Amino acid sequence: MTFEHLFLQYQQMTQFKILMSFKGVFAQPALVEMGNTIRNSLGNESVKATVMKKIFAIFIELSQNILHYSAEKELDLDGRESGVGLLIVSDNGDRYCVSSGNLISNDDVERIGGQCQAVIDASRDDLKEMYNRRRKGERPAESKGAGLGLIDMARKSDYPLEYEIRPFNEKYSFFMLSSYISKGSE
Amino acid sequence: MLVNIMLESTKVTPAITMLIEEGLVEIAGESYPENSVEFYQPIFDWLDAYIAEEKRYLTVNFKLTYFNTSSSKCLMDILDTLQSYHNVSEQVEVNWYYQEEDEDMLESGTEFAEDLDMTFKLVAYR
Repeated sequence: MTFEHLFLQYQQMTQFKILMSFKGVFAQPALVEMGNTIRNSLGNESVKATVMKKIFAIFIELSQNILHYSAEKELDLDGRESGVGLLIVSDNGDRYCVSSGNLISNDDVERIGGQCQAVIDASRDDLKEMYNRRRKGERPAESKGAGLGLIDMARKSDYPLEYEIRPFNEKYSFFMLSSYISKGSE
Repeated sequence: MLVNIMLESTKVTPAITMLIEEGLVEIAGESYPENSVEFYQPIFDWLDAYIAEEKRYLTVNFKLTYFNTSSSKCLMDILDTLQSYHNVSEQVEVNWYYQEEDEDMLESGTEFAEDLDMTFKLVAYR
């Protein structure tokens, strides 16, 4: 790490008002600690309880998404596999932003993009109906939570979810997903 | 054989109390384990056995303050099991406790209730 690299990081974190950022292995114990840190640090900043709960819930869904579904995996000493990714919580003026970034297989680009778009296009009532119908149904083979996470994040967000998928190499693409919570959220 | 279950809560899993004699089940705390199905499996097994062997009244209290979506799916599965038992026995009472100002947990309880047709009380506490 050179001075320039470190200082650039410092400047970027200041400019984008980054409250928390983590890039690495999203093992369950690590994400639990990060979740606690978010609760404690926002709790000290007179953030409304409803806002903090939403940020925490969205943070957990995004982190567990990385843990289970990131295409980049790391093994720990016990042989447990956890996903690798990036998660950033930032202060965007009138709202908070929780963003995640991780690799996905090129084979999943269409499916994941489609799921994100379907949730973005849905009305509040549609989202509620989708959530409750999926929760009643069988778990899809590729999912641990019946694909509920994305719908739940969309319901908790005060603005539409944003996503972008760009090619990374011949095997993988980089997937970004962001959720925004208004500081005055009810 | 069916035995009482008493699990203390952890940071990511709720306290679980399942008492045969009392016909009482309680799930209290936060729920966001890495693998929800694995955590809730003993609870599904206990309920199936209680329903098959005991065939008595069952009170189920939920006192949750946060749960992730994969836990939400497991809670729905538990409630579906209870609904099936209710349909043949009418011996189930579900109480959904929520902290007085916790709109999230009130809404969650309300949405579970909409999917069910049995005694499901929403109870505020301080």
